[in-house]
Amino acid sequence: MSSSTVKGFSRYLVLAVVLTALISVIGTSAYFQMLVQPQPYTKTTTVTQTITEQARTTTVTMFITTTQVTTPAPPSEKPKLEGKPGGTITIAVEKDETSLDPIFSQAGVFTDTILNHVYETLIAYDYNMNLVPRLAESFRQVDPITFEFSIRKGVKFHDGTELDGEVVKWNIERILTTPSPRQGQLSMVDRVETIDKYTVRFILKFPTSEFLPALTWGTGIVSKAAVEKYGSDYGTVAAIGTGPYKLVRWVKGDQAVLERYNDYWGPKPYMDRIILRVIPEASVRALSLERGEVQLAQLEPVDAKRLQGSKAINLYLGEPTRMIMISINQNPETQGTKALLDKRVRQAINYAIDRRGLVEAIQEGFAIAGIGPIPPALKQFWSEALRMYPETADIERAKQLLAEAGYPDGFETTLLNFFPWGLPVATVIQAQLAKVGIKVEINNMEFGAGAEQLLVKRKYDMALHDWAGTGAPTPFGVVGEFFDPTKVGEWQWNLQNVKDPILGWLVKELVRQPDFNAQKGVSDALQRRVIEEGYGVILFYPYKIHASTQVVKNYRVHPHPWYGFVLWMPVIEAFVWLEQD
Amino acid sequence: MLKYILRRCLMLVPVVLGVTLIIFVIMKLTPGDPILNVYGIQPTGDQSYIAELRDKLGLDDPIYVQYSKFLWRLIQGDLGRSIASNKPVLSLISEALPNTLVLILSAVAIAALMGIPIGVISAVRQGTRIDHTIRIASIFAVSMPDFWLALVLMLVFSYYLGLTPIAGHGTIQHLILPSSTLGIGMSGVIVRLTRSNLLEIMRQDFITAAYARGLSRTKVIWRHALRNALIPIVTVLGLQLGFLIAGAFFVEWIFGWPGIGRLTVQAITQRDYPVVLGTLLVTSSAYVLINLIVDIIYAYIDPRVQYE
Repeated sequence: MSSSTVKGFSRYLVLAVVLTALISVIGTSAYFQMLVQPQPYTKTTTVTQTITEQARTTTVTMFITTTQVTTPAPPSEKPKLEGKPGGTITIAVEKDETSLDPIFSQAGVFTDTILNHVYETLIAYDYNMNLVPRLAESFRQVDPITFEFSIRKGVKFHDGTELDGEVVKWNIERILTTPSPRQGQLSMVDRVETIDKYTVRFILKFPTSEFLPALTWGTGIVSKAAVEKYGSDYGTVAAIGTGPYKLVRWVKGDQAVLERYNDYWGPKPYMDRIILRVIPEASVRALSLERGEVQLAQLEPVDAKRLQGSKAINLYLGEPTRMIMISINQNPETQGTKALLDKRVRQAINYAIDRRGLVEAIQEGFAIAGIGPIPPALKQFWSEALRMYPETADIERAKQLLAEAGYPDGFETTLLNFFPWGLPVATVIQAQLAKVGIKVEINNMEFGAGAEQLLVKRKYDMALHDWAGTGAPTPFGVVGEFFDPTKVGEWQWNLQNVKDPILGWLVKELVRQPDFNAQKGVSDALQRRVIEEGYGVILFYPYKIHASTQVVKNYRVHPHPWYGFVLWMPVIEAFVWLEQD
Repeated sequence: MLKYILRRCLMLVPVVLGVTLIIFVIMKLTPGDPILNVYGIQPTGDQSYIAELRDKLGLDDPIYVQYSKFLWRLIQGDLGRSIASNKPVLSLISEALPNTLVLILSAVAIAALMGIPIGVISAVRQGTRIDHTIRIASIFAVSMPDFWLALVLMLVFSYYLGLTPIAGHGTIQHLILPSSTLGIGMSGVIVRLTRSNLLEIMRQDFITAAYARGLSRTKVIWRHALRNALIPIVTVLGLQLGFLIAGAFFVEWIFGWPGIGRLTVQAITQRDYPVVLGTLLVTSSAYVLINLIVDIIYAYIDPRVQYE
C-alpha cells in the first residue's frame, strides 16, 4: 500500500469526522430548535378570590324520578378560593388520548384529563357522585321523557364564538348522526329542541334514569365553528371547547400542553399550564414523580407500596370503579367444559378462590376483595352485606359442592387471558383451583386476538377481564348490558353468554325504577342472583392510585370512572393549585 | 457510480411492493380487528355504530380491493389516516421519525466512538489483562437486554445521581441515557469485531512490510491495519442502524421517547393497518437506503471496491 493511499485515507477520515460532526451539530440543534418552540407565556395576575354567582355549586340527587326534578338551592356556604396562582403542573399518564374530539376519544380506564379541561359537559358528577349542572345553569324534568336545560349565558368558546342553545342542539345532533361510541351512549335521545336562545329540551324515546348520567362524560360541548372550519381534522389539530384550559400543542404519543383560558366563565384557574406527558412504563412514572420531574401521576400497586410513607409523595386512593373478574361462559355451544354449566360447580370455583390472597399477591393490598358486580365507587349500591363467598378460600365447601355435582376429582378447563396484567392473576387462579382438583389451562393470547375471541367469536370456558361498565356510573351502566339475556351476540357485552330471564327482568327494572330505594332493592336482588348463581367470579376491585409531589395542593381523586385527573372544575369545587417558592 | 446508485434506488420499488403486500396479508390474517381494538373495549351501550364504522372504512371489502385501494392512494402520495386517531399517517410518521433518527444516529456514533478505539486497544494488547477485561466487558455489553440496561442507567444516573432527566424528550440531556443504552449494547459487538478483524489483518504480509519500511507502530495500526479491518464494522453499523429504526422499541418505551418503534408497536396491537403499513414502508425503505450508503462507503474505505 503506497503512502499516498494512507494519506488519502486519513484525508477521508478527517473529512468524514468533520462532516459527521458538522451534520450532527447542525442536525441536533435544528432538531431541538424545532422541539423548543416559543411558548406564549402570560404573566399571572391575581386570580379572582371570590367565586362568581354562576359557578356556585349546586347539587341534585343522582337519581331522576318520574316526579319532577329541579336544580336544588345552592349550598349556603361559599367555597373558598385560597390557593396561590401560577405555575405549571406536569402529569405523567400511561396512554395518550386517541382523539381530542370528544365523540371519537377512547374513553376508558385511561385518563380523560385533556378532554375534561378543554371541554365541559352540560352536567357533571361531583365528588360524592351527585349530579351538578356545569354548562347548564340548571335543569328540570318536564315529563317522564322531556328534560329542559338552561344554558349558562356569556360563555365563550376558545375561538371566541358564543355558546347558546343552538350550539348545544347542534352538538347533540352531531353525536346522534355520527357513527361513534357516543352514538350508543345517547341512543335514548329522540330529538333536541330549542325553546329560546338559552333553553333546550331533550325529548327521549322512552323514560330512563340513564339519560342524565350519560351527559356527564364524553359529551363535552365543542365549538360548531371550529368543527366546520377543520372538518375531518377536528380533534387531531384543534380542540375548541369552553373549558378552563385551552389546548396549545398536542404531539401524539408525547405530550399535550394546555394553557389557562383567560376568558373562562368561572373562577380563573390558578395554574398557568397543564402538561400531560406520556410515560408508558409504570416504574418510570414513579421514578419521575420521585425526582419531581412530574408532579402528578397514576401509579401501579408495586410502586405505590414502595412510596407509601414517603414524605415527599402524597398517595391518593380513589374508590374502585372497576373490578377484575372471571366470566364463566354459559353457552353450551361455544364452551368446552360442561361442568361449568352446573351452578354447584360455579359456586365451588367461587369458594375455591382466595380473594384476599390475590389482593395481596397481585395488588400489594391496594384492592378490595370482590363481592358482586357493582364496584365500591357506587357507594349507595355496593354493600359488604352481600358477600357470600369468604375473602379467603373455603376449600372444604368447594370440594363438597364439586362432589355433589359429580366431580369429586375435579375436571379440566381453560382460562382465556389477553391482558398484559392478566397472566400473573391467571397463574394464581390456576394454582388456587388446582387445590380442589380443577386443572386450568391458561389460554394466553395477544390483546387483539384475545379480544376478538371474547367479544366476537365468544369461544372460551372462562375468561379473565376487567369490568367497569358500559357507560355511566349507575347500576344499570355497570351491569345493565352485562347481564342482559338479549346481549349475547357478536360485539355485545353479556360475556357470560347467560340467558337468565330473572336477570333480564331485573335489568329492565333497574332503568324503570324511578326512586333510589326501589333501585337499590333491584340492584341488590340482581347482585344476589349473580353471586348466588356464580356466573362470574368477582376477584377484586383495584383502587385508583394517584400520587403527587408535595407542591400539589387540594387534589382529590374523582370517583367517576372516566374523568381522569380533575384539576379545575369550579362547579364541584375542584381547585388544585401549586405551592411554589 | 451514479448509474449504480440509480439502479439500487429502483430496487426500492419491488421492495416496497413486496413489503406492503406481505404486511397487508399478514395483518389481515392475524386475528383481531381495528374497530374492536380502538373502540370495542370501551364503555358504550349500543354497539351498532361498529358496523357503520367498518363499512365507512371499507374493512369488509375483499382483501385485494383493500390492497389496490391502498396502492392507488400510495401512488398519489397518500398513506391514509390512522383508524385510531384519525390523524394522517404521514403526519404521525413525520412527528416520530426525526425523534428516532436523532436517537439512533447518536447511538451509532456512541457505538463507533467507543467500540472502535477500545477494540483496537484490545487487539494491540492481545493476551494482557486489559484485553481480558475488555473482552469480558464487551460480552457483558452484548448480552445485556436493553430494557434492563435502560432501567439500570436510569436508576444510577437519573435517580441516584440526578445527572440526567428520568424520561421524556426535548433537550439534549434527555438524549443521553436512551442513546447510551442503545450505543453501549452495540459497542460490545463493535469491540469484538474490531479486535478479531484487526488481529487477523495484523498477521498479514503487508503489515510486516509496513513495519519493515520503518513506520511507527501507531501509524501501522491506525492507518494500515484499521482501515482494512473497517469494512465489516461499517457493515454491522449500517445493519444496526437499519434495524434500530423500528427496533429501538424497548428503549423508546422505557424513556417515553415518542419514536417510530413505539408508534409501530402500538399500531400493531391496535391493528391500525394504515399506520402499520406506513411505518413499515418507511423503515424498510430506510433499510434499503442505509445499505446503499454502506455500499458507497465501502468504495471510499477500500479502493478495490468499485461500482459500475
